[in-house]
Amino acid sequence: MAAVALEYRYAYPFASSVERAGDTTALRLAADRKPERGVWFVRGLLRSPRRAAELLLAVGEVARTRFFVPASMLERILRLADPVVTSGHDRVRFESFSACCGVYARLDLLAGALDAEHVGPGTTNVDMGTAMRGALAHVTDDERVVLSVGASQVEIERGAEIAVERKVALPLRWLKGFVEVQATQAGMKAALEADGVEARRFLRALPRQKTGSQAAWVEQSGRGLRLAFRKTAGAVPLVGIERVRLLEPLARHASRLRLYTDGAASAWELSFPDARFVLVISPEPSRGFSGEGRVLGALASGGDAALPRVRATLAWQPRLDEEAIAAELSLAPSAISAALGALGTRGLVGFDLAEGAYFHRALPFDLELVESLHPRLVAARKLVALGAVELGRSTGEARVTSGDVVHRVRLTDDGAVCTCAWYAKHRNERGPCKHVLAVSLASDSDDAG
Amino acid sequence: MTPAELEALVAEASAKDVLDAMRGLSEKERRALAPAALRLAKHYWSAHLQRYVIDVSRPDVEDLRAQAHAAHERHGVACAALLASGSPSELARHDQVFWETDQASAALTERRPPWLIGLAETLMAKSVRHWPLCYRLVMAGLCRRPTSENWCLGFLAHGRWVGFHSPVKSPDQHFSDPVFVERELWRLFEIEGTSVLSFTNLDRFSKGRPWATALLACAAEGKIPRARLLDATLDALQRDFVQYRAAWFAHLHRDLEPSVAERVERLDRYLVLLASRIPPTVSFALDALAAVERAGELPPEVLLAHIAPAVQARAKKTALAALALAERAAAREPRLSRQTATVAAETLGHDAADVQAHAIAVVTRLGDRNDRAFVELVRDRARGTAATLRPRLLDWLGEPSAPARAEPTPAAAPASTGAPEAPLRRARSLDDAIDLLAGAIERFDAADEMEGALDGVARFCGERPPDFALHLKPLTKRAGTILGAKPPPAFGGYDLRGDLCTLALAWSSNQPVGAAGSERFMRTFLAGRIREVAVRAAAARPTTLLATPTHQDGWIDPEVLARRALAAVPDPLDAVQSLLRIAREGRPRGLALASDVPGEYGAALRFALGGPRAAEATESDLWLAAEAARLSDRLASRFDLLRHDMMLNVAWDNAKRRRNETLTMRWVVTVFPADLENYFRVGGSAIICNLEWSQALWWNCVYLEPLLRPDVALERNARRLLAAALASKPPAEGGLATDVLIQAIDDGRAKADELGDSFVALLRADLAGAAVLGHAMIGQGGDLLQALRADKLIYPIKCARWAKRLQDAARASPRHAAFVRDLIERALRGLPTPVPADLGPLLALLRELCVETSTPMRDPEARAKLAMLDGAGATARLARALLDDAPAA
Repeated sequence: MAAVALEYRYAYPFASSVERAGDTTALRLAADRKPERGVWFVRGLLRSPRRAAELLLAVGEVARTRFFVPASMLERILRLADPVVTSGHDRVRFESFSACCGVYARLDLLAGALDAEHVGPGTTNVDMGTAMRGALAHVTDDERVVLSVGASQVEIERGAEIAVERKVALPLRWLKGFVEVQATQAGMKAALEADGVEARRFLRALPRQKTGSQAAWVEQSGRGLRLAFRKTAGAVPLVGIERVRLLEPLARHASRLRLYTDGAASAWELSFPDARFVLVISPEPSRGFSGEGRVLGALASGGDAALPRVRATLAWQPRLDEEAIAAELSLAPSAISAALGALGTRGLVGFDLAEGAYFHRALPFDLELVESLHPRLVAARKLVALGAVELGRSTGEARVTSGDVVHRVRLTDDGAVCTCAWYAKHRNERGPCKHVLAVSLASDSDDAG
Repeated sequence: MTPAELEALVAEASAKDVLDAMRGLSEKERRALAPAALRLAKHYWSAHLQRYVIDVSRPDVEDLRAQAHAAHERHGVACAALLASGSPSELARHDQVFWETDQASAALTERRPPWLIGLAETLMAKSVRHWPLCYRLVMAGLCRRPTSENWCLGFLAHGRWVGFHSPVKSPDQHFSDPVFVERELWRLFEIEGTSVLSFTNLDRFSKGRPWATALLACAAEGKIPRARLLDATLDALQRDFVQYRAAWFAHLHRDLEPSVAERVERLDRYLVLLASRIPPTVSFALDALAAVERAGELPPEVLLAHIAPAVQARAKKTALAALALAERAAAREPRLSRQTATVAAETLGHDAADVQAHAIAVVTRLGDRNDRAFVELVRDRARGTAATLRPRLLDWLGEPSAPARAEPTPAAAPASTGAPEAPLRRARSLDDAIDLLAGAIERFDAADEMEGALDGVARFCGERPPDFALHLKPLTKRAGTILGAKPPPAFGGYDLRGDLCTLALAWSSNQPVGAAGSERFMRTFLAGRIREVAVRAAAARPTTLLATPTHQDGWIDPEVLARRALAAVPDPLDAVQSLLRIAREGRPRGLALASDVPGEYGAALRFALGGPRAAEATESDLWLAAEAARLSDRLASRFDLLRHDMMLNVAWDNAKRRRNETLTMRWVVTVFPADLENYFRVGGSAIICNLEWSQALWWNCVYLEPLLRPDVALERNARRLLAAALASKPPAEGGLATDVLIQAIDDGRAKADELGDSFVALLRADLAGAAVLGHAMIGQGGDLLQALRADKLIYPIKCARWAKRLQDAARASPRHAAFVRDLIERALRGLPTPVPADLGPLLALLRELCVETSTPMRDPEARAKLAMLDGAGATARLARALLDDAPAA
């Protein structure tokens, strides 16, 4: 069966380019939509052009990489989505998500990175084609480099095409993963840290050979970090070591490496004087973020009354203070947290680990589809619609008829327990199974009725 | 012609007859026959496949072969009919129709349907396998030239089988095709290729590098533009193809022998390649830039703006070459000294001491001590320099040398055995039992989950509530799915997950359970235990299993065991297993409680717990287990369950196998937790056999896992396993061995001299060679087992790997550093003559650790070995430095 996909049209008024004129290099990233205010999303002089160029290249690389290639895909490695840029207040964020749905990268250019001429609020895709990547590789620190995202008029790149248009089928799982990874980050905690010297040593020492699904952990060793193959207290899991190798060249400039984890996935944050680069990797190379199901509960609960009110407060803020919003809206902080999680599934907020808070951005995709086509949720709704759920309020056990099998869902101290194979394998580590979701939906409907 | 007539024709006639008969039919008439043709093609293909694999022991083998041959022949005729009648979508439903290039080409050429023009594009988008047919149709002008990657890649093929047979015998043939020369040729420099079709593969496995040779000849003759070829190779390198495939483009570029002027013209491209992720590409770019620099055409400031990634390259040679290039730039342009010194300072943390030494030389020569930002950078990066070099840098910084690292702290006492770290999950109800069995089947990675599942089923299999079938249905349905329509025989020991599924089905069906495997291997022992529970579950005869562990790692509290034995009569394997798991603590109390346990088991249990040997004691498994349990050592000599060859080699690997082996090995560890020496012996042999990762034995690292436990002593076989794994190529084996070493130093189990002697044994061991592995893989394992019994190696030990892993362990703390220093010193006693070619890194590490811990080499035997090293090589110099350091240090 063909995977469900969202047809998306990238249309840029010009191809992203680097142009040199006199002592100034213009690094022009084409955007596929217009900013809310002004002619650019952002325009300013890069203070460390070489470093910024390398970081941008890394963002682009994640977008065009499959870190895990299923056997059936070996001969058709597809180029998928372009990076997404969000500008607003004092920073510019570049996000990308790998084609395998298991690696998310974000570059935050902070206040000091740009002598900003203009930073307008908004989110857009940016063209990061082959020509742009080649040009970025040439940027040096001796140049005066002006970065701009978007433009007021069609610009002509050196002798090449004047417009870029690509239609891609963005798989639903890719879109799901992109939003799911925000919820994953929200559940992470800082675990380990190393300074620049130790970070470089650690990353250089990572094995070159592919380790596949071999379980490994990163642990503190003296002042630095080391890769271990047994779990110890405080260690950060790392399966698919090759996925973090991308950080090795970037660490050259980094002052610190900080690792976050939720016990399964991990986030790797490189700090620079005026920028941060975050790489979030899924629990296993073959396990994309799309299947994690952390947001399923929020999606199933649907129209929370707090949602539109919280949404109205977003205003392109680079740091959404949950307590402040709670106070402003006279709601409990937990309700704000849940609402932000739900907004994350709609692509309206991302999570910034360094700030420990969500930030506003609006992914330029139609994410209603994601919500409506989440396989487990769809299956659960179908079960409810078929009347397959039998709530046993007196026994504390619900029965869900699925095909010729009746699954029993029980509420225990460890949460909902189901008799299906999904639950037997994953417990509640990857979100609820469709039967638990169906019971939850039926129960909500019963309560409302 | 009617479909029935076509069917008759296909059954009797040849493909030519069918095509002749259909000649002259209109497209409409042909299309009417297509459904029948498609059905026939599928039918004969299926008939051919069904008889394709023949059991040669069958008496009717010849008949079957003849039937398969006949079906294949008829399939060809049916394909001819389909080609002459089908629409594109009908043809696409039976892809095999295009496999016979001659027939397909002839049929389509004669038929010339209106859609033929686009057929090549469609077929090439599907698979490169259709290239020969498409190529023929395109060259005949019948099809539009495709544009897909597959189409371009197909041009690479010539001569040998690459999933299809190309009609092209040599690449030269293509160069007479102007469209290829203008179009596909250059696309091939933009496409990475596949595991089969790439420039690299085709040239590597063909005589005389045909593609490179043809391209060089064409460039020389002017058939293709040389400049474009030079650019294309560099552009390909810029695409960061995998190293294996990128190397071909670098070789071709070198073979083109670009002149200085040509290199200068491409300076920008070379500079970009300095940041390549592929190490040989960086090295290639450095070579090119060095050539430009020698000609005086490399602007120093341009070089310094790009050189940083190359200077920090992991490869020592590359980093040194880049540093040298930067240094020469500064020599030509003194105003660039600060920039050069900064580049060098960034390299101070390089892993190789040689690179650090060179960087220090540049920093101290070109750096400005009054430049605060620069000094700050050097101070920061100095922390990453080797102990032997750091004083020079600190001296330049005007800072005192750091004191030697703290003295080792006393060793911690080993932890006692058997203490439960976390409660083990056991079933409390029928639902729990079902959950545990379902979890064990789905996750299948922890031994205790297996025990929990067996325990749950054994205790609750007697409960049959009215909706019992409903409760069990999800589990049995899943078990049936896993086992498939034709499950292999259960309880043979090679598919424990399948055995658990069989247990689930037995529980639900009350059907008799099949016989156990007859071999006395550890696998059949474990499978036999599952079977015992399956027999009970099928008969709804509940019991309390005596062998269910009460503690981590398989241990059973003697008191609990005695109480269980008072209440239940164990099955044979359960009885044996329970005795082998008796914990060391609490035996007297257990013995007292066991006084009333009836029967032979009671007598054996009392003997195992320290009681007298009963008169009825025999040489049965039960009594052998009791004796092993009583003495807590050397299980194999008494109870030969470990005689299994475990996994020394394997001809295939897949996810199912990997999970099965991993779980089996983890479960085996819990069979007799008191003595794992034989397990470690097998593990050491397995790792020695696969030291160079010649086979994908992902589960070998599981052998090391028990060594992380503080209650497991590092005896001879354990040390052999650890020493071998530290030299093993797979990162997981070497990494886990390092974890074990760090842990064993921490908890005081490791002794440097004992472990050093295991290193000595490996260094001195004879080499049997990898040929014995080959013998084993074709079923002649005698040579391999003989070599392993004689403690021979299959591959030589790599000292450089030891150095890398030991360095990792030494970094953990000053105590670990001291331990590793003593360990290497002891290991040097075993230096063979001649010494291993890669001894240098081990000596370099020893020297760093001696300086770092302010402790010279003291072992006279090791010193004598080093004194025998002479010559001017780096290893000999290191040996002399170690010996020279000793008296003064």
